[in-house]
Amino acid sequence: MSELAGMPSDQVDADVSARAVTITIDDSLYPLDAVYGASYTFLDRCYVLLDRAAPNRTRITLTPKKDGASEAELRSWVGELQNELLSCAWRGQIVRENRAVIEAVALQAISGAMGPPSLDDLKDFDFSEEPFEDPLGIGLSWEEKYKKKQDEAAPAAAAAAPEGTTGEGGAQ
Amino acid sequence: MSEVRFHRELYAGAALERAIELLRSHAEITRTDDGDHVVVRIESPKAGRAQRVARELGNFALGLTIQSRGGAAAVGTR
Repeated sequence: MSELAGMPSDQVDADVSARAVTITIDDSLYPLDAVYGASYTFLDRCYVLLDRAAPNRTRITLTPKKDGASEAELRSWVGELQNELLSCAWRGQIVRENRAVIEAVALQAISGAMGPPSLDDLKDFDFSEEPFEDPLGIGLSWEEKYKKKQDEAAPAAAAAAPEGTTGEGGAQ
Repeated sequence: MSEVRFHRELYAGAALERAIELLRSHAEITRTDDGDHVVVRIESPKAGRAQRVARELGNFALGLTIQSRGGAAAVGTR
């Protein structure tokens, strides 16, 4: 095995005569799911073999299926595999961090697909639950929010208005 | 003769067994245990056949392992 020019020697070994390239990665950087995901994308054009190089290091060996792979081709596969590893690791982290949101959206979609609730469902629904706190009155309709103020304001306005100007037949 | 070593932490046992069964008709395949590894030896009277089957066995075992994990394939494939 020899190193590929421009690639870190402690991570990448290439055996151009045997048409194989070996990439050793740190498990703390790339979890096993990322290794599987990245390896999976090479199964159509390479023979892929995984092994443990050390307790926390995984070795991925790619051997092309077709003959005549050049060093440039091996180099491009190394780069592609490393990009795929990073992509899979990052996507896995996004999924883990957003699992609750994804589950909530999926649950809403499934419950929506089940159709509207039946009358029996509504009959069994518990309406006694305490309403959420709404100190700013965001959940209130416009009428609910301003009706009381209008009711309070109406007598005050009537009292303040001079006599004879509030009725329909008032002087013009 | 070709020999492939499959690490137990990386390859599911059932997936490896299934891969061996799928390729058994193409070559003589024997399986032994060696610590953390499962060692598979492939023999065939035809030139180059054992090596080809050994490499295909690696891909089959890996593909079936990923399939058996389900979530990994979903994360890793587009």
